[in-house]
Amino acid sequence: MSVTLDATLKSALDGLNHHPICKIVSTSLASDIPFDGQLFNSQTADETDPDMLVHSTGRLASTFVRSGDLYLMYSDEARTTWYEVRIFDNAGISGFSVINASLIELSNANIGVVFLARSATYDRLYSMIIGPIGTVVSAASQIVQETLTSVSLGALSLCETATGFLLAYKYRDVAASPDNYYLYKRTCNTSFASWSSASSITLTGLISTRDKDHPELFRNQAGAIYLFFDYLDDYVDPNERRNIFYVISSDEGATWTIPAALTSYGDFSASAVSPSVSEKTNGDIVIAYHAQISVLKIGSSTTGYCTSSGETTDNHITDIFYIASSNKVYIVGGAAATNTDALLRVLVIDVATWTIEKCYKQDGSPGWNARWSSDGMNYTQQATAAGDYLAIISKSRDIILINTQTDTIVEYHLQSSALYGYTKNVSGFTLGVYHDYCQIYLDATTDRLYLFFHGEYATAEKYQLCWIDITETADPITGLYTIHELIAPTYYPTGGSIAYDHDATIHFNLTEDKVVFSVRGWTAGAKGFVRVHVLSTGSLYKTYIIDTNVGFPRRGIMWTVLHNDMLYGNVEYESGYGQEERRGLCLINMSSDTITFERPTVATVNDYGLADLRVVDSGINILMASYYGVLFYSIVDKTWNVFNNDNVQGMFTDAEDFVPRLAYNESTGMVFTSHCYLQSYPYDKNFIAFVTTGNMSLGKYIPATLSGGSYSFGTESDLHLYRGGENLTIAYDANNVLWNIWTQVDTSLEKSLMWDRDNFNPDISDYILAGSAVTLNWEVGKTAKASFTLSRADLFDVSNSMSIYAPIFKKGRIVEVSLGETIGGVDYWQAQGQFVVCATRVDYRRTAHPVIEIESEDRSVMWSEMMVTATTGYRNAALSDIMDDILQDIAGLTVADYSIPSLTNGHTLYIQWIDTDLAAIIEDICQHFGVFAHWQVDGTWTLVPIDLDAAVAHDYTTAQSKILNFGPDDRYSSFINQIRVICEGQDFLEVLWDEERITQLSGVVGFWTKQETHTVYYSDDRARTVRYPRLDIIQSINDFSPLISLLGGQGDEYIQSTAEDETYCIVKIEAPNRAIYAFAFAAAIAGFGAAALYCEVRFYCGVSIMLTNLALSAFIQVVTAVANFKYDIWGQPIGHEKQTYQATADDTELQQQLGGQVVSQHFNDALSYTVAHCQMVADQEIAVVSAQRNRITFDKVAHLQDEIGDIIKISHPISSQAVDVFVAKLKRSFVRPPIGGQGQFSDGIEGWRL
Amino acid sequence: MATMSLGTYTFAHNPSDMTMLKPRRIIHPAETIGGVEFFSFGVFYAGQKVTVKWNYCPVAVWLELVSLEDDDASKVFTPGDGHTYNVQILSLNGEYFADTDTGATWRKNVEMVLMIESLAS
Repeated sequence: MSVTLDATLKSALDGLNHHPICKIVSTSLASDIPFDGQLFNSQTADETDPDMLVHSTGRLASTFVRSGDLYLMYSDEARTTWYEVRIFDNAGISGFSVINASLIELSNANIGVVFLARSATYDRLYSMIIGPIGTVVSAASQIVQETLTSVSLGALSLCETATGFLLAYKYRDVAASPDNYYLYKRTCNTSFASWSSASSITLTGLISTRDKDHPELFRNQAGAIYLFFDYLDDYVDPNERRNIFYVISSDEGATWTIPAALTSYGDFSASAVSPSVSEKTNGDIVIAYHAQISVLKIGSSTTGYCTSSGETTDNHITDIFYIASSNKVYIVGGAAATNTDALLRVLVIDVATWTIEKCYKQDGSPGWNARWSSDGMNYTQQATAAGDYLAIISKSRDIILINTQTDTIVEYHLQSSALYGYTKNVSGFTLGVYHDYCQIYLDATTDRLYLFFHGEYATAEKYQLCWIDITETADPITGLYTIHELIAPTYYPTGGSIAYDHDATIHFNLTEDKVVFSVRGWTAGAKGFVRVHVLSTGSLYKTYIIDTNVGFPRRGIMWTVLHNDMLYGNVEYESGYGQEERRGLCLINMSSDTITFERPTVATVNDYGLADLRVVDSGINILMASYYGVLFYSIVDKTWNVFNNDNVQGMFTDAEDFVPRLAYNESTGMVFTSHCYLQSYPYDKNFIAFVTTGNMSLGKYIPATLSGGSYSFGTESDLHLYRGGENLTIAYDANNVLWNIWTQVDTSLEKSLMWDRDNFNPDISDYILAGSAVTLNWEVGKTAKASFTLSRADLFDVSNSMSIYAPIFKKGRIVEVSLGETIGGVDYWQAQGQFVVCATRVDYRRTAHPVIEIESEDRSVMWSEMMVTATTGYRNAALSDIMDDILQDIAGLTVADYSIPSLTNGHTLYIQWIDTDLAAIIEDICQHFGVFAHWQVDGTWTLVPIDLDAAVAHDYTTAQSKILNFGPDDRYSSFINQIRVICEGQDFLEVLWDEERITQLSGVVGFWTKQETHTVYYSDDRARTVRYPRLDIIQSINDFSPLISLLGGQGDEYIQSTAEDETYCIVKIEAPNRAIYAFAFAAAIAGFGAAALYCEVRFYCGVSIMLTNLALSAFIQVVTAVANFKYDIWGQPIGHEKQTYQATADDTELQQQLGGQVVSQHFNDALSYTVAHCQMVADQEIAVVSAQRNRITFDKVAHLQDEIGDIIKISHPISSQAVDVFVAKLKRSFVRPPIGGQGQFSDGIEGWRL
Repeated sequence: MATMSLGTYTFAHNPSDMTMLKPRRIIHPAETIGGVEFFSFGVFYAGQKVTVKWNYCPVAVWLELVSLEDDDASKVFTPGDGHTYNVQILSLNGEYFADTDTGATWRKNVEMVLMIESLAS
């Protein structure tokens, strides 16, 4: 399977004279756009308002503002490094700060700059001229000054005209009432020194009192001037919406067309602002801008949303969790109108990209038991999440635990359900009446899932706290998970039935080692309470109930949270109990037991519906859902902050503010919520997110194709990957590379400039250090590697943020290596493959030029770190189908990334890989089929057979001049001369396990017992089968029993029979018949007693009485004599195992040489199922082991046709005998020598002589 | 005879000795078991070191050369062979002649090593 080369290149490589060349290109697996961005520096001063151009010299240049001064960020002409220089110091105009600027290249290659400076009183426009690297050519000169009480100016933009330059800027007439907004223009000649007076640009049809901002001028190659700007095109106090509009001038800006809308944002949840335009060399343009998003939404029409067959698609939401470590949101969806509280789906939202990453559903893979869905009536009660885990408990106390990392679901059943086909699978726990309800809580630090049970009936008002270790796997024999008890069942403090019918919430505070139970009664007479326990010991810490705490609300509080020994919970007010002051938020100081209340200021009502309380912002605020929106209560200054339709633009599509659940990202201030919770809720069903501070702007772009002198605008796409940017600027360079600089606002509201570019695939061959090797290593069974050393490490150093090349060797970037020859002045290339950058090493020192060493490996380098919890259980599956699954679903490859050959020894497979990694799966397949995994030079992955009988791919016997050295070397071979492969077939055989104690039987027999039988099943579910049961008598009825010892006789105990299906045996116990004694003594009592009654002679009377007493005594002893028994039933459990097969392959030649000594190696092969399979694998393995004893190494002149897995033919250097070599390892080296130094273009071969 | 220049300085005295300027063929002959194969990596000016020597030179010239080195930047070298070269000054060394006095007028064995970065024209 050698590489097919271009004929000209092959001819040159076959020849004696070579002109080797090497090319290394850096590229990426990810698309360039959307941009993720690179920071220029780590300064903390805000950097804002960039405006960029590409200078005719090739330099990039952008003005920006920092600390009120104006700066220029520029690059070298090759665009490899950024430099910055301050071009205007605001100290020169006391009291003024630069606000923004625009720049343009002049005809003499200098750069003209116009900027706006503002003081407390004035706005001023200035112009200045600088050189391409910021040298001031002409100092700032004032164009105009406006008094802020009359006019304020804003964003500005420059473009060329036929006779000079055109300036457009925002003009706000604040003297008018209401304010009027205009875009003004001025012109200037080519000297960039003499500006005309200002006039407004006619924008026919736009309302003068609506803001027009961020003008962006652009003159295309045909001379038409376009003016893009954002316009406030809809306004309903306090909501605003802006869209990008544009006008065109064909007379150098004198007149303009009627404004047309470029963007079409339709509601108040988002606006388009701050456009920037740039033109490609072919005349096409791109308009970029920021979408100012106030609310992010996900609904049932969002890509990735899922619904089980037959279920409603309604986006009902019951719980929301934000996971900071992964920046994901978990949404539990259920509560559909026609399907009461069924669990319909679980969504995993990637917050960074605001996309549905995963959607779990009942009939998905993985899915959950059907009881959770439509007619199961197993409604979702509550959920909890931490890290990768999400747990949900139902009213029927079934629990599902989803691991979103491994995509696995564990179901815990606290009771069996014959209807839904599952049995109880927990031990240490028996469901009782006080387990009527359950709340759960996941603690990721201890991997515990806490279960808080509570009952509501009069006889069962108890609660109990237990936990499950979520990392525990079920007992392999019993299939049971263990439930551990932390707090034993404890009666409510209410007593009697006063808590009948209630709600409850649970809150864990791990820092303060407490767990808080809040129970709220909701029927007449019911009292609520709060109990706080110490988590580590389970001991009771505090109880609050109106009976003992008169300030406590009668019905109790809910959603209680604990912070710094203070409890905060919602009061649901009820009139008639004189508790008018007890409304809103209840605050309980547990140190002093004082109870106070705070009412949200958003409304004056009885109930606020406070729910889902949580302590946030490092303990400063309590965040909660409510009937009136999202509420923040400041613990510090006792103030309230509300976020609802009144102040979050486009929060919901209706006027309803009710939000019952929420989640929160503290670091970004992003709130996740929805007001869809109740069944048939008629309002907006979207899941939404908004930020309490900052913005969620996202860079967007629209491409426009030049056609017939006008532009055809395309559709909007994301320009930026991350939110929070503003004031972007774009520019195309002469190579049609799109450059972008923007201001990124971080979570602390610091504004920093970022940059990025597309087509970031630079050829860095010119930087390869002369005298250092570009080395490519391929070896059967290992990842291919490429390493090389570059000069100018300062350019490629990932820590040098001012280098434009800094990102190109970040870990995970792709390196494409090509080798070839220059033939007749033409470069002929042959790709050598794609490699992932794994490591870089730079060493700066004064005495040496900084060089960077790059180490990269093929894309399978990460496969050993990609853990696979479980693959599909394949049955009779074709290898190609399995590889499709594994490579696409696990490795993330596309169909174009790999090709699976049809193997001559191929067969279908029965396999499921569990708890392994991807590399191990591939290794299993390779070992079984005798192939090796190989990333080919064209970048595709395949399986290559280790075919030692293949035809010679390259014959070097007629080209001995290619061989540089030769060295047989079998140092690494072994003495193994026999391979034994063992496998399991697909047929099951019955097996008997070792005898073990199956169960126990114990009891008692008495005078009434003559014989009795006991049916003893071998397991509770009566399914276990056992053979050869025997009785191990621990305590026999013959042992020390009055029944036997008193009256003599002998008992007998034995297994009478066994069940035909071997699920039980019958134990028979035979005791002496004592009923006759009891009857005889009873008759004696009667006889002697009667005699004594009618006796008239003293002597006879005495004798009769005495005999009656003796008979009575004997009777009592007989009827009270019993015998205990206790038996163990032992037996051999019956199981089934797959039949084992094996086969061996021998290297008889070596065995003979060793005098018959057999050195055998055994291994199990999970992919073999028959003797034939085992034999196939054994034959392959022994062939390789034997071949490894014939290992040779040699170096030869590089030939790009050769690759590992080839068989090549060379001549022995002394005997000239032909030697066929299987290439097991190939090290290809290219060294461009320094002047006077040594070069290299060679292949180092390690192979097996055949 | 043309007068050489380096950067903005035109030598008052051309050097008494200088490396021949010509492109160098970068070649690597590989001796194999059966013969020899040649690898040519091209013809380059870049990377060549050029040694420029004055047996004796006036102190004024010496100071001009020192000033050029102190510029710490790439220079255009015009040796008078019809080409100009972008060069870096790798080293500049010399010896006192007669005395070290600031009023001394000559230096001896002055040697400047340049490295050609590229052919400018």
